[in-house]
Amino acid sequence: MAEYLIIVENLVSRYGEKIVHKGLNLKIKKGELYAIVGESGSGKTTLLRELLLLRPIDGGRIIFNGKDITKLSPGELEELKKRIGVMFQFGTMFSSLSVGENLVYVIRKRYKIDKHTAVEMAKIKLTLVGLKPHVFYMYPHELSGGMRKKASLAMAIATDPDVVFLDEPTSGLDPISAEEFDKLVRTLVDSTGMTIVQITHDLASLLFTDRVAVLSEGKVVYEGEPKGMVNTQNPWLRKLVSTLRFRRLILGK
Amino acid sequence: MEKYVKLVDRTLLLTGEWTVEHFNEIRKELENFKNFSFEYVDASRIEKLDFYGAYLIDRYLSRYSIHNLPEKYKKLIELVKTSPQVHPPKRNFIDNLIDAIYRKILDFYEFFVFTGLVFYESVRHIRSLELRNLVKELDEAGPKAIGIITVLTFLIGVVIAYQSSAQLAAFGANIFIVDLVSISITRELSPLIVGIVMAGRSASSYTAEVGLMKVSEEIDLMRTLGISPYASIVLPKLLSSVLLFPFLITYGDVIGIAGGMLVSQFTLGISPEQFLRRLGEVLYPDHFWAGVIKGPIFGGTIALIGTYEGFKVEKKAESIGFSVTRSVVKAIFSIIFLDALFSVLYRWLNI
Repeated sequence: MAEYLIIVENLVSRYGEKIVHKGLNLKIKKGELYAIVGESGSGKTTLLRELLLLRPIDGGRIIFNGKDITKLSPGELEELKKRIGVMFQFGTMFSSLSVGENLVYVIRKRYKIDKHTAVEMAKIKLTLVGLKPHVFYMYPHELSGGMRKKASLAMAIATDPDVVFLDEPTSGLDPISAEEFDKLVRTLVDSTGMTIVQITHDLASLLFTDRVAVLSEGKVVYEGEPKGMVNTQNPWLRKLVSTLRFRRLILGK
Repeated sequence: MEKYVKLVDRTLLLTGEWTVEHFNEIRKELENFKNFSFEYVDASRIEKLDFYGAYLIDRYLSRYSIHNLPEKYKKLIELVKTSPQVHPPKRNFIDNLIDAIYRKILDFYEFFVFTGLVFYESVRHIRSLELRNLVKELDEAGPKAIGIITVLTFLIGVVIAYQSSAQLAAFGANIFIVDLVSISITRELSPLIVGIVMAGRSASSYTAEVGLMKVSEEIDLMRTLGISPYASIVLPKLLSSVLLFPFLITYGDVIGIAGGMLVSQFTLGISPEQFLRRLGEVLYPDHFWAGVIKGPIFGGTIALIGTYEGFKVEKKAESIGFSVTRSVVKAIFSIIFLDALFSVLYRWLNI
C-alpha cells in the first residue's frame, strides 16, 4: 500500500442525470510521472477537481497517502491541501500580484517561512523552471502563454508539495516550448522525488511519463506504461493506437 | 534535544526529514552550531530532503564538503545554489508625479479620440446598429430607471417646498412658492438628479458590460469579423441615453412639481387649483426647455464615459472594479461640471 500515493477506488460522479465516472480505479505511485489521457468529455477535469478536493464525490473512495480523504477532519484536510500543488490549464495566478509576490504569498500562507527565505526560494524556483530573474517583478498579464505556464508551475512547486497536478501543461505551447516543458517536468520528478500527475492531450508528452491512465466512458480502460497501450481491446484505445500520431510518436513506426 | 543536527566526535551528523515543515526548527539548530568547529559533515541519515532543506545545507554548510549524501539529493544542492540577484525597478517621487500627470492628460486626449471614433465609425457602419440592441438598451435605461427617478425627484420637490415655505410665509409671499419650486426643478434639479442617478446606474453597467467583453476577447472577435464595436456596442447605448434623457427629465419635472404642490397645500394652504393657475403664469416654456436641452448632452456624456472606461479594462482581476469606480466618479463629475457650464451659458445668453 505504501508505495502508492493516491488510490482511487470505484469512483462514481454525477452531474444530475449524467454519470461521468462509473466506478473508476487508478493507482498513482510515489515519485512517478503519471499521465491521464482520454476523450474530450471523458471526465478528466472532473477527476482532477475531485482529486483537488474541489468537488465532492458521489461514490467510491479516494485514498491519499493511505488515508481516505472523505473521512478526514477539517484540520487533517488542511494539512493534506498543503501537500498538493496545482497548475490550472491557463496558468492561473493571482492577477493583482506580481509573479514573485504570487510565489512568496503561497510559501508564506502555507508555512512559517521568513520573508527573506521565501523571496530567495521564489527566485530559485523561477530559475528552476527556466524563467529569467526579472520575471519576479512582472505581472501575470505581462507574460506570454508559455512563460505564464512556467511561472504557474513554479508557483505549484513553491512549497515542495508531495504531488503536483498539471492540467494540460503543454496545450497552447509551441513544439519547442512544449518539449522543454516536458523535460522540465521529468527533471523535477527525477531530482526532487515529487509525484507529478498531468492531464494531457499531447501524445508527445507520454514519451516522458512513467505510467498513463486512459479514461473512456467513465472508466479507466488502461493503466500502465505508454507503450503497453498497443495490446488492448478497448475500442477507443484501439482507435487511438491506430492514429498516425500515436504510431509515429510512441511506437516510432 | 537536537533532532536534526548532532555533533558526534567532531562530525556533524544530519538526521531526519529536512523539509519545508521543519524549516525553522532545523535553522535554529544550525544556528546553534554556527560557532562550533567540526571537520566532517555526514548526511547519510537524512531521510527526506527538499528544496528548503537543501537551501539550509547550502547557506550554512557550504564551507564543508558534505559526505554520504544520497545520490538523488545531490542535484538539489546544485539547484539551490543559483539564487539570482535582481532588484525591483526603482522609481522616485518626481518620476511618479510626472507619470501620473502625463497619464491624466493622455487619458483626456484618448477620451476625445474615442468620442471621435465613435461618431466616425457609427456613421460608416450605421448598418451594424441592430434595432434589437437599441430596444434592449432603451428598456434598460428607461422603464427600469423610472422608479428611482420618481422617488428622488418627488422628494427633492418636497424638500424644496418645505424648506422655503417657512421663509416665504414670513414675508407673506406664499404664492411665490410656485415660482421657486417650478423654476428650480425644471431648470436645475430635475436634470441634475436624472444625470446623477443615470451616472450611477448606466455608466457603471456600461463599463462592466464592455469591460467583460474586452477581457473575454469578444471585442477583438468583433473587429476580426469586420463588425465595428463602436457602432454595435457604443452606438445603441449612446442613442438610447440621448433619446431617453429629455423624457426622463420631463418626467422628473412633473413629479418634482407634484411634490412641491403637495407640500404647499399643507404648509401654506395653497390649493392645487391656485398652484396650477400660478404655474401657468410663471413657468415659461423657456425654463422648461433650458432644463430639457441638457438631457441629450448629459446622456451622451454618461454613455461615452461608461463605454470608454469599459474599453480600457485590462486583463486583471481588479481591473473591472477600478474601471467601474472611475467611470461613475468621472460621469458624476462631468454632469455637475457641465451643469455649471450651462448656468454660465444661460446667464450669458440671458435665458
